Amino acid sequence: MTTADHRRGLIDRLLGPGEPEVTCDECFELLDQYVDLEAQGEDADTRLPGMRAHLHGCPACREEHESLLEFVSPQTRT
Amino acid sequence: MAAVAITTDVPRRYGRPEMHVVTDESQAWLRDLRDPLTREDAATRLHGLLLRAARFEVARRRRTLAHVPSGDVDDLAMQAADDALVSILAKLDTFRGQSRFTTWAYKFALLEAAVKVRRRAWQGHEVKIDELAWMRLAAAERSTPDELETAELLAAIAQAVPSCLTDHQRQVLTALALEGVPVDVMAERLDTTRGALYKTLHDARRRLRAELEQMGLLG
Repeated sequence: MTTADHRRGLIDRLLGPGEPEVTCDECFELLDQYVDLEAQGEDADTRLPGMRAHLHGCPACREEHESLLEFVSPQTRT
Repeated sequence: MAAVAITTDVPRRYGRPEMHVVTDESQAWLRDLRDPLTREDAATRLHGLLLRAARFEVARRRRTLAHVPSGDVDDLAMQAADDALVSILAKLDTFRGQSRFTTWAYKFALLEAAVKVRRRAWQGHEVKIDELAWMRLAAAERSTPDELETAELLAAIAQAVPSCLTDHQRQVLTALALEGVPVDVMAERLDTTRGALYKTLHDARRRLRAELEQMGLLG
């Protein structure tokens, strides 16, 4: 990773997604629905606007989203 | 698969209520967890699933617990499964069928495990807020054109922080975005919640963006 890439990542963390997003509580409330829609190949972002932006801006919620999606995916479940 | 359609309320911002489908499997979980005759057995089965999810999460984060004995790490997973089961049983009536019951349940176990691992990894570590980090950012090297662009934006952010953020917003932004302190760890140290802390971060980011837009640095 170059210095510029590193700085872009830092700028991203400092400024966040810059678009409407749900709160952490709303994210947790909707996470299972969002993940099941994703796992079914549905357009989760259109159905649940604000989730993607929050997952971009909140590392903790993003990690939990990644874990849940991976855990319920067929490859992990078998 | 046979299923029952129910209407549920969704948060107002997402518009009109939608139809959701509660599958047979989800219905069976709800029925078994509510029926006094089957509740204990169902809770035991559910705990087994939650423990599997919690161990999955702990394994994903194992490298952050390199200094923690294996037995302690598995205890974290067990505690996460226990706490998740308590939360789920208390919130059973809030499950509205927007997802499979098991997906809904797993998120509690993964959250509990993730929070416990983050806190354990930071146990005994002081959270240092290095205010000088902003000065170093402002003085970042800029030897290539690519570096020049990012360095100038970082310098502008560093200069805007003291003037447009409150002390609390600056502390939270420094800890979470600059120092990489997990939000759960910071929330515990400040005796607040993840949601409240993220709201502070969100407000700080919004102010910074507005300031940079005024300076013509953001579109």
